[in-house]
Amino acid sequence: MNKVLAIMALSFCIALSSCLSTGQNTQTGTRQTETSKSHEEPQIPEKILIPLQEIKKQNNILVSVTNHKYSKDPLNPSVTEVHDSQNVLMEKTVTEEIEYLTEKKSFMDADNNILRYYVITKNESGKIIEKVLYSATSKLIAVEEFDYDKYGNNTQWRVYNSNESLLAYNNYIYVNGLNTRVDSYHANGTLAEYFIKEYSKSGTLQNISRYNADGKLTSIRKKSFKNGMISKEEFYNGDRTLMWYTNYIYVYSGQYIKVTKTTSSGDGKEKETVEQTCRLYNRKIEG
Amino acid sequence: MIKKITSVPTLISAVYFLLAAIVIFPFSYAFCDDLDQTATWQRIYAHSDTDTKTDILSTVLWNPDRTMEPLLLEDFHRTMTGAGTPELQSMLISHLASLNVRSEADNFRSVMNTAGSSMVKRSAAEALGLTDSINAVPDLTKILSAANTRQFYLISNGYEKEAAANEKLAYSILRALENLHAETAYEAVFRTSRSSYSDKSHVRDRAARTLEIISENPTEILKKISDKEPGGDDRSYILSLETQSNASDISKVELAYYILEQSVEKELPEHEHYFQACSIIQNSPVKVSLGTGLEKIISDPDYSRDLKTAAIHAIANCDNSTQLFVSYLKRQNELNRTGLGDFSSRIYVTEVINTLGNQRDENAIEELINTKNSGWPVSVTAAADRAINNIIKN
Repeated sequence: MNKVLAIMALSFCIALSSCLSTGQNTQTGTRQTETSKSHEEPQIPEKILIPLQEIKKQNNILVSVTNHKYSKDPLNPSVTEVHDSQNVLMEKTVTEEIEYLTEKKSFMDADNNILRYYVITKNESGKIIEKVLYSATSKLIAVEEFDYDKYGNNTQWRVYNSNESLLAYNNYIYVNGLNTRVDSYHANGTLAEYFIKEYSKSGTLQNISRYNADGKLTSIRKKSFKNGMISKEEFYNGDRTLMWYTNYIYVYSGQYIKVTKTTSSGDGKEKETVEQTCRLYNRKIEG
Repeated sequence: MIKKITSVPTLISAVYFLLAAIVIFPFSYAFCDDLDQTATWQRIYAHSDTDTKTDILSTVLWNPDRTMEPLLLEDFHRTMTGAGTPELQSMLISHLASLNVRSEADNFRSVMNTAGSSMVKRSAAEALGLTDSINAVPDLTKILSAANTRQFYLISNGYEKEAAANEKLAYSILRALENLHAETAYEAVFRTSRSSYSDKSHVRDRAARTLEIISENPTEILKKISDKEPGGDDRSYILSLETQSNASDISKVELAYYILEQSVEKELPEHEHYFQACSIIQNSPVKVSLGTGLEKIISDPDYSRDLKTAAIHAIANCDNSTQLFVSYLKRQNELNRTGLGDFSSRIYVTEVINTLGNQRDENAIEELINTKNSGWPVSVTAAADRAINNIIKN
């Protein structure tokens, strides 16, 4: 019994210290709020959910089971396998380092035939600076390039076609270390559309509004949070009609967290359910 | 234990623990989305030619974002008027199915029925399964049946490439039928599992699994199929399917006996399925009254000794076993008395007598006494004596 008490007390201490250390500043895939200019360096969340398995159901019928395996990089899977309802392998993704700071991410069928692949180059900080996409026959399909400022914020993203002609580019604008606006341009430099991102006081990304070049709202993606965790995601069109939404439910089981994401259309008809089994990764301890 | 748990310190710890579980861990996902980049790719897609669209859908937009639905729909409807390529159409259908766009079910069905491309047919078939299109089951079944027939022709005539495409189509339809739990397709799927698909394609294996999924209690369907399948291997397979199914124990015995009786009546050559049927009856946890099919096996000199023994063991586990054994014994006694008895029958007569003795049913005594007076050799009459004693002792 003393052991049980000790474990419970320890769990509480860990939980409490987690809350204190991350507070409400931890964000969902975004940077931490900083008001001082001297702290514009983006802070990556300390606690991250690492998906291990995803079970997708449509119309209450199992559609696929996806398993992620991790090796060197604890945040990005080295192997992802997608099985169908009868546990038959359908496709898999394998990421391997082909040289220093360069990796190849191959999408394969069940017989290990490569269907398409990325060659991804990162900088010394581990951020992606180039993604080159090839077809199964090694035909160049597209190139993506990423620029960063001295703090590691992504400032520009460019896409080129197979002739390496620019197709489009996005500029990222930051206020107090938060990406608040994205301007998306055609290749000729005219504005195609732009995105406005809104954050809570604690710096959590809540809304992304999409506008066309004339400033007309075309869509809104809204996220709601409970206890620091995303609880609902809603997508509205330009007329503010709810198109679809996803509810998130969390169940804790030891070191794993089961996240059930149920997506329904705006009229409430269920579209799909994804049950995700995740491991909680603590960058402070494991990173 | 209960007392300990309700103690104050433990209770506080438990509350803390619960609080910890609820409040802790604001976190982020390892995989985050970039709406602006997805949107940009969608814009690029919208302004691209057919080949580039196909490239984009098969690569960067392989996992379609739900925001893409209008674009995909627009292009899919365009392909239905003849625009685009089969590759693009196939990909559009797969993406829409993955987004569970049920409103397109009729269009998927129409494409499946009319498309010349096997790739498009396949995507449409799978899409029907993913969008819960129950109305499509008759069409899916029809195409599967046609594929089963065509496979034999293609293989026989050396059309390997076409046969491989046909196999992929059959596989996709099986997946769709599984998702739709299409019990009415059972017979077509059964034929798929017995058709000329290559081992490499795994079509037959898949069909076997599909059968388990689409019907939990297939007894009646299997009975109908067995009426049309005279082959021993097919009957054997039918019995295996029934055994693996969730059918009741009574159903399993009844089907086993039905197939056995049919085989005897049609004078099908002795085959594994006879033994399988006997074994099912013998090992069933429930006893069922059966007809005279098993008795005919013991009486017929054309069947092997092993099968006759299996039949005796099966009868022993029937509800009306005494009646069947007595009936057999009565006939054998008559034949022996009139000199028409088969010499080898004394072995089975003895086995039957021993079984009756073990069962200790008084209703057998009269015929056992008759046996003693029917001109059998001492080995048989001694067995009858032992059996009678056993029953009387009981």
